[in-house]
Amino acid sequence: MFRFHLCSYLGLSLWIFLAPPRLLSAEIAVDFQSEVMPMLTRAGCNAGDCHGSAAGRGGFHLSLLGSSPDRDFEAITGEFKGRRLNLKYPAESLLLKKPTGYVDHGGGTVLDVDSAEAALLERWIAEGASKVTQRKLAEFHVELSSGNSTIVKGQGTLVRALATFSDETELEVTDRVTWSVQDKDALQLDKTTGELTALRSGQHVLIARFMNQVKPLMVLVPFNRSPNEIRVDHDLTALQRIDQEIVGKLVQLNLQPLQRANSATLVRRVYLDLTGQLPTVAVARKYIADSDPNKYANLITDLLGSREYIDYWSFYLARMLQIRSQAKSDTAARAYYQWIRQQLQTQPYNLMVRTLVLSQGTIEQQPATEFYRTVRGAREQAELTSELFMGVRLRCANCHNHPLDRWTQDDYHGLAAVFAKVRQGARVEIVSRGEVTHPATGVAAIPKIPGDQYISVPSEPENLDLRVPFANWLTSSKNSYFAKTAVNRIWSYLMGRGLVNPVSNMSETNPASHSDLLQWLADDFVEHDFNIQHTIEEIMTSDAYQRRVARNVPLSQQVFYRGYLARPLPPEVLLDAISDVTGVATQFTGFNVTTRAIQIPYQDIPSAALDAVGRCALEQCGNVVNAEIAIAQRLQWINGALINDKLNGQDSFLRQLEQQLQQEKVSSEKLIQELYVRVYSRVPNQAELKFWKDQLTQGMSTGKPMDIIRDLLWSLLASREFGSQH
Amino acid sequence: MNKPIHLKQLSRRHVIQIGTLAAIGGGLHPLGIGGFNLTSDATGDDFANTPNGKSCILIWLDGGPSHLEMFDPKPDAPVEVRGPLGTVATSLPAVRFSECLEKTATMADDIAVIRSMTSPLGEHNFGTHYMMTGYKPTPVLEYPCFGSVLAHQELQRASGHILPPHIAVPHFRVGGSSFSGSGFLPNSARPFSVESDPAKPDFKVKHLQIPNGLTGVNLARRKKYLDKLNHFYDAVDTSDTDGFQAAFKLIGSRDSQIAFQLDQEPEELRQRYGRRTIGQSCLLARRLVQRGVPFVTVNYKGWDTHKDLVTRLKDGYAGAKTPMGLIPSLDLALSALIKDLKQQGMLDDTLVVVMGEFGRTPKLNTNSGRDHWPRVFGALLAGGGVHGGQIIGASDRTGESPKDNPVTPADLAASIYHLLGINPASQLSTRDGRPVRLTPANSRVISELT
Repeated sequence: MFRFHLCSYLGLSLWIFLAPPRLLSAEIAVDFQSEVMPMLTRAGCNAGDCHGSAAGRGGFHLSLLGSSPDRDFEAITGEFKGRRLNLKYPAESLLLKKPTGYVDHGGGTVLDVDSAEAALLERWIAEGASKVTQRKLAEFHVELSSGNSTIVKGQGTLVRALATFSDETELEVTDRVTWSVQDKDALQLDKTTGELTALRSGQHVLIARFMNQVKPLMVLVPFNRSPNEIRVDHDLTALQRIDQEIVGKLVQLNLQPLQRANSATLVRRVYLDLTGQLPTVAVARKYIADSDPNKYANLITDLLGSREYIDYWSFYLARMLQIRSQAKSDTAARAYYQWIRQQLQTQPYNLMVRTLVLSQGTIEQQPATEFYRTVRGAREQAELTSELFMGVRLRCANCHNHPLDRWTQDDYHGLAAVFAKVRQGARVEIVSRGEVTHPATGVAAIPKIPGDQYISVPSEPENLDLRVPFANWLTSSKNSYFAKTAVNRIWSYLMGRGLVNPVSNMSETNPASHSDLLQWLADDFVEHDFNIQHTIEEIMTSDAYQRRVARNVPLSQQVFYRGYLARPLPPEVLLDAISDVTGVATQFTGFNVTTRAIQIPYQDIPSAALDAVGRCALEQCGNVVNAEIAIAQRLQWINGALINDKLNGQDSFLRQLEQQLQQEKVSSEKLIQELYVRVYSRVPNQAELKFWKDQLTQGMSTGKPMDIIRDLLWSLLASREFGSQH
Repeated sequence: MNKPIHLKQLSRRHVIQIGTLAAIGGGLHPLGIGGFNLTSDATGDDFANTPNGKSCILIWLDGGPSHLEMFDPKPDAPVEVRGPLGTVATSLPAVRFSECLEKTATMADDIAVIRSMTSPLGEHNFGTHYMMTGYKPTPVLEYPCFGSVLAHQELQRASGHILPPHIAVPHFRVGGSSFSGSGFLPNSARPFSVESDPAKPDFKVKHLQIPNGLTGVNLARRKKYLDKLNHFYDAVDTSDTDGFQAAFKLIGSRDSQIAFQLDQEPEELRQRYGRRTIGQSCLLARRLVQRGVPFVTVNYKGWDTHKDLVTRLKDGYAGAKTPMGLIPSLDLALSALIKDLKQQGMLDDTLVVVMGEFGRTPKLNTNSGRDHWPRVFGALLAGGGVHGGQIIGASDRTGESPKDNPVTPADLAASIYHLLGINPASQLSTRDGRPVRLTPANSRVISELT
């Protein structure tokens, strides 16, 4: 659908050095690829809103940000019989007269006629406008001149870029690089001196583009510590690996990690993350009272072995794979879900994905074939596959080489070609015909592993399933994208934010907040045979996971996991929790009354209750499971059936409580404690206890204590504490 | 501009219901946060509004409307550019609109059309973000849309109004994805989505009425308890993070009940707006603005016309006798809205903006549709002090690039704020205390508009 698609965040501010390009000794000719092209990129000539747009501009088309030097060379020197250049009188060339404003130019004057850039162009033309070398960029490295990655706020340091070419020449190319700062309120790059000044504390990204490479440079700017904060020295070696990385960065940033949360908070947190359920009153009380030092680790081990864990993480995988029901029947969706569930119990993640990618047959023969009924078309399948399992958005490379990443049009259409012979119908099968057209060449795209080799098409028909070499590559232990994407998703789910955030955008320009940690988690995942449970356990036993909530800590500090990131419960989990607390199940059409919301195989089941807790339709939210609950939904919470019916239901908790209160005398203190543990999985503190005791006493005087209790229970369910994972 | 709501306009049912609430209203402020405060909306004359009393109705054409089939047709261009629709003359000399805008064409004296909007962002999400906030999207910060900026200012002034200050009709699902609208502002600045279709005969905002079995006493107590629990949980952040405070206010107010009662409008007027969703949404927008809502977003979906322009834009369905596609429906609604605002004496204080995230490709594609095209497109403004009867800027011969006076979404944003009496250079603060200008530093107010 996206014919014109300007990708990604081109809102980055592009800084262009106006400092004269390094003058090479006069006898060395100006090089097109490593000098002229980077200069055009710096000047913005090949940007997306200029000659770099898909259709070019003013009849002059350059590849976006200079991704295809050969094509651009042809456009500059060959088109219109070389009219753009005047080899005899170089200064008369259109290529010079347009950007310097001598001839009417839609983009205005972009080069000063006396500038070094203009001089470079003129010299290149005077020297015959040739390519000179075909040398490729072998290595490209960016750094701060100080040698480390930290800048003190308000101070500056020089940036430096070094290039090594295929012919082994090494050059400093700082003044040829196109630099961009992601957050210009945080970092400021001086256009003439190359001095980088830090304006805001935090971790910021400076992106350098040179020839065909893009490199991010992470810059740390420590926070100012408030004077009354106690400085604690951390012995990093005593920590487990995750915490070495997390605490290490906090120390660098001059931030203090928060303390460990209490038992009540942790038992609720762990239950919700592993089972999607609150701990029962009995479980919560027992855990809080337990003095066993190993109780936390034991709890995690126990829950990882539970049926509820399989239920909940199947739900998570099902949402990730975007299972939808069909209009007429949900049989296929149910079968697919059951397959995922069974895979989670028996197969490592890489084998599960391998089976998905290679699946064929009918839904009865192979439920995993639903993977090929999720979207329609080879390109769409390529986009889905790369986003889910490589964490990359290849879509931009549909129309042009990815401007801010390594992906090329060959990669995009090459991966689509891998799926071109897959028939996505009732029977998923490999057919003999099928191709995708490469828009740049107009002929069938050659199947290709993204960022890797072309797949030679074998002659024997039985080998025609091109997905096999792709699946081999994708799920191989050497594929850094695959494992990183998987562990980043798990981390994001458990920690409230991906190390790469958002999780579907792993790219050079969106580097991980903790890149060593992400690499380690990925390696560890591979070493442990792609076992999801292992990674979950590794993360949940870290100190980082067990910290108190970073409440009222600015977002700029939260992203470093100073404390636990509180967040809204997923809609299905919230609904199940409401059902559990009130003792009245939610009925879903076509399912047994005992079926929990997280056990529904697909997200698009019609349900007013799910709508009221913030579930949004797939087409509205993509695969985002969490949505916000706004005013319209809150009207339903207050006046609608969602909670009111559950409070008043026949066998509801409140009815039972009412009967109990008629038979025995329960102190208001005990009653309040019971409600708190039931809803919040904790006991109330003194202030809370006193307040609610007073309220109940007042209510007793009016003779309607159940009214008070009902209103209190409604309020507990509507409260922020209940609605969040914290 | 605001007319007091007289009691005679209230049905008996409302009087009774509000009476119940009011009876317990006095005891509802132990925490000093909100409550069923009936005093302010009963008087009707301290309705909230922007600092200078202006409101805005944004008619958002979600998906990217074709500039070539609307306000910038190219009747002399080759057929693959010209497209399948004809043109009509307007009340301005030598200015033509699409044939489907015949009613709006007669009102060209009241409107200003910008024909030289330009943006580099041709993807729904990014384009929507840019047009609705004035900022290109960045991974660092999500910016707030105009409506939420106005809402935020309104809430900070604590003017005691009841209706949410930014209302979306029927909802705020724009740009093909989840865009909260409030950006870095507190959640309380998010738009209130009506979530039901004003064109339906049984249209109403669901769950606004207190159901049987519950009384105002219960609700008052629940609100008080909820505030207390949230205070125990987080004593610092008492903002309306989850929307309950606004929801309780709505339920406890008679003004909210009346504001959404479209059936109180004369039948003839409802017909004039057209009985389709866009028409009745615009009518509802006028009702809301009349009651002091500073910003209403009317979200008109379906403009991503990659194929079959004639059916989608003009006819509505194949073989339609009367054109009832996207543009004729808009034409009916927009012309009725401007006329209605004028008759009610509200036009000078109500800015109407019509726009989408980008335009469409100058050449038809092989499916008789047009694809995304941000390099040049259009926008329409009327009322709110806009100097009508003019075309601002121009596109080139084929509607491919701006020819004169290019206007960026940032410029348009600055102009909208300016028209609403807000200095676009004024600053907001993020939760981290980072100061952010309302519109980018390089944006300019389009001087021709005022």
